[in-house]
Amino acid sequence: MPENLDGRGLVRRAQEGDLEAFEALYRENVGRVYALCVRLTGSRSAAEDLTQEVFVRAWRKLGQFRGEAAFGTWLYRVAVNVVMSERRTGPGSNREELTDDPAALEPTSQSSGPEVGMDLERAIATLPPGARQVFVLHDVEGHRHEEIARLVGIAVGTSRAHLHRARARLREVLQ
Amino acid sequence: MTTCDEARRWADDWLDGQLSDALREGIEAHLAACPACRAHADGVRSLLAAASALPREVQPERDLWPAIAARVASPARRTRRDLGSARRWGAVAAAAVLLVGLTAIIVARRARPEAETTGVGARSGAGAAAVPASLPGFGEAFAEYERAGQALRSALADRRGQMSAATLREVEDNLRIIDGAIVSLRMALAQNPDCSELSTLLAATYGHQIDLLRTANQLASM
Repeated sequence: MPENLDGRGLVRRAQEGDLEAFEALYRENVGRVYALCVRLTGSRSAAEDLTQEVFVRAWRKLGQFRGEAAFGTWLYRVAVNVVMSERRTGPGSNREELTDDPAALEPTSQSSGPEVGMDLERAIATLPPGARQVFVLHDVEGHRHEEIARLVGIAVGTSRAHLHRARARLREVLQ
Repeated sequence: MTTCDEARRWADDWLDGQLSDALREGIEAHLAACPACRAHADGVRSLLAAASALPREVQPERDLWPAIAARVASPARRTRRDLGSARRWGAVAAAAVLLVGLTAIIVARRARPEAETTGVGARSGAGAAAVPASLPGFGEAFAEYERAGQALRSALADRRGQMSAATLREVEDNLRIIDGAIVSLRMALAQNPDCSELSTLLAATYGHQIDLLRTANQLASM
């Protein structure tokens, strides 16, 4: 790949205000960002909105990217922060989602239907928000409980409890 | 002695490698002796394998780029980085103003009709009837600029509905300045056909006009 078309060349051009270069970065990374957003939110429409927000935020913060990590890694962090920030402050946030007590997170009636046989992606979407986020961050994305606790704003023990409940729920609906 | 309840409660931490040695040994001894708890642990293990095997990428069902581009290019959301492009636009306008000034000095002593100004989508730009239709020397090159400019104006006229009113106003204002400079330069060149400086200025001004029209079309396409 020519130097000016590789990741670092594109980032440098985007940092200079080149929108075409930023579009190329978007095309390279949108699948990863959208996958994270749709799994964390359980909603395609919310994930589309958040994915847009991630790239708008990334454009505005590009000057802060120093190339110490890969662009995709930096963008991933932006994405997690955007989703978690929206979870805490966005219109979809509510008391149940913000609770630190996993016992309060009973599956909603909407998510307790006949899901037997559904695939894992759909099953994840039916989890209560807190359990879904911990499961996605831990078991899909590979974060440790300490990282999740910091990202989500809960105690480490709560993260463990959410994960336990999420796995139990998923095994139940996937059987 | 680990019970079934304890083994199932700790199965997650055991699979995640989070248990102390004593607890790990206890649960492993229990699993070796209890088929039901072993099946439970295998079920969790299968779930973890499926989770880690999920595709890293999922493509959205629609292209999100146009909406993102519109937001990052919007003047209302302009940031320091966006100001880079704003400065480029400003530079074009400034260059045009400079050219207007230079041209005014060059042609000040010559009588001339009122320069025609042109808005986005207007039928004719700098090649108005008030100025000579052909010019010696660089005539063919200037005719090429005229054709390219008209094509870009036509494309922009079709897209003007996709631009914000503020952006459209800026484009029209900048085009008017450049068009005025081109008209003046063409008139001056018609009267001084051997003046290479005027030819150079006219070519540079056409270049600014084409750059501006191209940029405006790109913005309108986002």
